Amino acid sequence: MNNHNRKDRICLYDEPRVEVFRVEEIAAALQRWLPSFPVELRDDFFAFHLRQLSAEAREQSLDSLARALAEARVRDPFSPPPSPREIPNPDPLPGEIDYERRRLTESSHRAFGILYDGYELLSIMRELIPAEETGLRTLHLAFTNQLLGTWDDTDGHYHARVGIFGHPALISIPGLVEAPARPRSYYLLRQQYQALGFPEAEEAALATATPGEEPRWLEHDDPRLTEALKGYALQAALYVLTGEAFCPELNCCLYNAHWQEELIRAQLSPSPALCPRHQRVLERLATAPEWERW
Amino acid sequence: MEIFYPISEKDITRAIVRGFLKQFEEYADSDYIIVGGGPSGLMAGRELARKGNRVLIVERNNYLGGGFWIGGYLMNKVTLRAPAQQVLDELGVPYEEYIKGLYVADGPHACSKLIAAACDAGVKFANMTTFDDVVVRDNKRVAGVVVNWTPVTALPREITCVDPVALEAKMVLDCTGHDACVVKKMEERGLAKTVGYGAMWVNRSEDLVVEHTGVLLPGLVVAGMAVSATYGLPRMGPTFGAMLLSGKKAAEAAEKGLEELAA
Repeated sequence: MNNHNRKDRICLYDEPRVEVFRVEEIAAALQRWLPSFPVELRDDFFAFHLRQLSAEAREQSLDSLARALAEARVRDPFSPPPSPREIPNPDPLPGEIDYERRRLTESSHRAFGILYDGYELLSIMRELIPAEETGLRTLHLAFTNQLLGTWDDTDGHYHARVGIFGHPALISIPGLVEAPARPRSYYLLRQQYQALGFPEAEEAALATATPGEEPRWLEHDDPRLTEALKGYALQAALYVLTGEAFCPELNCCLYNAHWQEELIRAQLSPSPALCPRHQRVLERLATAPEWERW
Repeated sequence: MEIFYPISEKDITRAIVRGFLKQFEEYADSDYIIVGGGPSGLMAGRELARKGNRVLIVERNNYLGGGFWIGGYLMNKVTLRAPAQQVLDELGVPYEEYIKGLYVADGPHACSKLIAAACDAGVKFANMTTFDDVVVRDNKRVAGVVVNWTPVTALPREITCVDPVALEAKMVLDCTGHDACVVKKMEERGLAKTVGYGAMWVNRSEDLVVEHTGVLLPGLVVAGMAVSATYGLPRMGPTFGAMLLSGKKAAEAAEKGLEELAA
């Protein structure tokens, strides 16, 4: 199929393992911001693409895919991906491969908490996208219930990330909770509790948050997660469309938040909004001729 | 007037020795040997023994139950998240719902009921017995454990030299908690490897522990916190639901693993 004959579109993949995540609301928000780009809703990225394969090809893919995913697991965030392959876990345990295989075949596996090398994960996902959808005119945007990180040579450790943007783009739902830091006071309080011997210090610290106020950070089962993810979905789309994902304006939902308080202000005050400059960018994208959009 | 029947000291000694030896001889060849008598080991033992299997739990301490007697900060309340309260229902342990999905039970009540359930199911115990090494067959298959009295291991080698003894089993379950003793021993021999504790991005890794519970090597199942040490999962606080459910899953995995070995 000739890519140039295909209409621009955004393929949005669900993450059925997260109960509070509502992908259709993300789709509606993207449609409102980018009306020229139809949004196609799909189920889980891996489930969708594996289903397109013949039974035999799927069975073969499952083994190699499970191994590749196990190899992308970050065991120690303070160790760089070892040479020569520079993948974080080049010699995975059989149980790690089995776990990945089960996740690929059973969507009921909701466990999260494993950190993956984000770039490695994107390259694995890229291999699954069929040739007719590999062009830049189809944006693939997937959500995951696992954690993503990228290695940083400058400070010698992995950093948790909300999103890894590119082709495809991947957004981590628990990353929204774990990547942007909580208020400094939270860590000080947690340290105090831990010094006193309370292993579940996080819950204890949370319990002492100001009564009657919404917590100043997001939780894993937080009903606000979907709302907060809309701006990140737009960041992923604009990165492909314009080469620029972020905005320095704190009140713009394209702001790259490093703190939970910034995240809440940019995405949930009360809903994700754009700064005037990015509002104009979206207006131009909506009215530009098709050949000028990408 | 004397209350108790007159029995000589030598008869008491003989009763202890014969009772112990009879059991020790019988369980020198068990269906399943579980190393570690904490919550995951007791749960796995109970599940396997209920089905008529001969199960021996090796425990280095005199007492059973591991950390299940107390919660955090030496406070004897244990917490479990749903659906682990179903295990408490099975065992007949009373509990309260603290908030939706979080249950609190008395540590002594929960732990003693679990031990009793394992005993009632037919599990036998070798307590004050320390795991020393693995019995390996065909170069890779775990076929038993080498054990010694715990007090022996506490003495300096210069003043004691007590060789251990070997116990055979069709499957061995490593339920030794953070130490993952059996897996580590296989690692020393170059037959397995552990990852150690992993990234602390998430405090709760209960689901991951249960999901990674299973056969690690032919003849060896890993369960409970030993799973965390083996696969590099985040360390957890005193939430025991994963230990109980991991024990249940380990029993299923052990039976399945045994079927596969037999095939």
